[in-house]
Amino acid sequence: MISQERFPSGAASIVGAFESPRRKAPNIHPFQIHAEVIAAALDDAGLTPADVDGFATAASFPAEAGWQLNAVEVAEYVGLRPSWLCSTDIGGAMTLSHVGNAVAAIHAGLCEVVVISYAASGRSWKLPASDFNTGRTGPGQYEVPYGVSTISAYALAATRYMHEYGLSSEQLAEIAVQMRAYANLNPQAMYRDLITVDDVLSSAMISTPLHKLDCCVVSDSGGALVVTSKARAKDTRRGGPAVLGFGEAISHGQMNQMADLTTTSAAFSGRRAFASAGLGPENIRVAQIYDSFTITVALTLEALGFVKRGEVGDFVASGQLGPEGRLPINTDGGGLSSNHSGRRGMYAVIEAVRQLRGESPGLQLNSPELCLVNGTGGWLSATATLILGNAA
Amino acid sequence: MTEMDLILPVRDAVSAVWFDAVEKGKLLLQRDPATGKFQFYPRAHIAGAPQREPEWVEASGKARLHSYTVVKRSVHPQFAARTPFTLALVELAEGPRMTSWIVDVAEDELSCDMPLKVVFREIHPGLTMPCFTKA
Repeated sequence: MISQERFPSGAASIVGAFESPRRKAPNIHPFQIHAEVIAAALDDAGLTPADVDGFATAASFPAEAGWQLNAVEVAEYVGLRPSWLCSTDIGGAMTLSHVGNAVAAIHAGLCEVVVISYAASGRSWKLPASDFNTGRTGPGQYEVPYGVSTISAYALAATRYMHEYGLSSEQLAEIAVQMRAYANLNPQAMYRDLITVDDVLSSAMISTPLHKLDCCVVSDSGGALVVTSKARAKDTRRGGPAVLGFGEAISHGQMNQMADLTTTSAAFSGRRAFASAGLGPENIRVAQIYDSFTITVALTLEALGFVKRGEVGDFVASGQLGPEGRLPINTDGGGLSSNHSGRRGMYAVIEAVRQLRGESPGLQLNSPELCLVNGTGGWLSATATLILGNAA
Repeated sequence: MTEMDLILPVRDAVSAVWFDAVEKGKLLLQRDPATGKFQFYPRAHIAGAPQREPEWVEASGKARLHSYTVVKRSVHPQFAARTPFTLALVELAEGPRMTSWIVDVAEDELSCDMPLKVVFREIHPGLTMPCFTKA
């Protein structure tokens, strides 16, 4: 265990951010989306590919179309020649991991301008579903034959949480309803029509207790970030928030190895992020909380310490995630309504940057100074937490 | 269905022991000879202590239902054809949890922590796996 946080808080800033407006892109290869979002994020920062000496991505999911050495493949396609490369793959949390590692690398002098990208055609790119095919050997052979999918894995956690703490389907549905209300204000969101708790509960049951509207959208999209040193950030076109805190943690590969189905590893990654930033949950008034499913939000809010154990149902049902609530989250509409092409971490970081810059495409909150971002990868398998803040 | 779709375990030196036992109607667990602690899934070593080799032990077959989900829809043809099925995490009497199916229990009879016992079912053509039902 780490006894003293050594993350170089504030050593680097996110000076470029771009989320592809694409949501449905049939016949567009994901690598094309990488090139589009990288060009736009660099333009946002006032930098060019020639300035880039660090690159982070992973493109190993089928809908991401990478193969072996996939970060190299994407770098080559886009035309980047980085001398620092990071391809850590912790599922949907990976972009947050890439940001944290980029800050550390910049601080260590390994590179100065890092581009982080992600793209996937989760909806349209016709490739085999990976969920059931990749784990037939080794550890997977004891679990995969039973048909564990991403949705059913989260459903297992939901059932146990409901049993222990009495969370209701109506309360979970409130999370989806609030995300849709934010999406209603975001012209880029995939689904914008307002929904009710009844709409969620009457949508198709996929894997009890999760209905279709408890699940994220499936889109084709991508995004990119540009991270650079605090010193160089001053010379960029628009600047951007500093990375104040970072933590990551893993929990399990198979659901039968998850020690406590009601506690995600955000309890650890969040603690490290808060400690490295010198902040606590009480300092955070807006957050981006990876919402692959409604239950993901519920578990994460408790793991991060925003809500006391077992009380998240009342918290979400009393409007605390709304614009006037204790903790507005996923102000773009989140993965539940705006954008989820397979790994949402990228879009969550981008929305945090937009809120802190005052340029959210949807509801812009009143000049937030800090924003926490939490990514969850796999089936509650891994998390990464970032705290971003506007430099004084 | 293409070959890609088939969900059949690819046996290795360790898993062959476990699957051979399943075919004989036995559920095996592994035990750490040093601590007496059980582990599942099977490995060539003790998790967290790669220098130690586990011993195979037949499980009692008793368990409790830790959590479950009734899968109503699946994108995978092999499982779509089997819906609805009850996917579960069961907590074995010996301690470890395993992923399994609950069989012969109606949806409204399912509840967390209910006592279970192991049964063996051919859940895919040619593949028998341990499943659990009401004790």
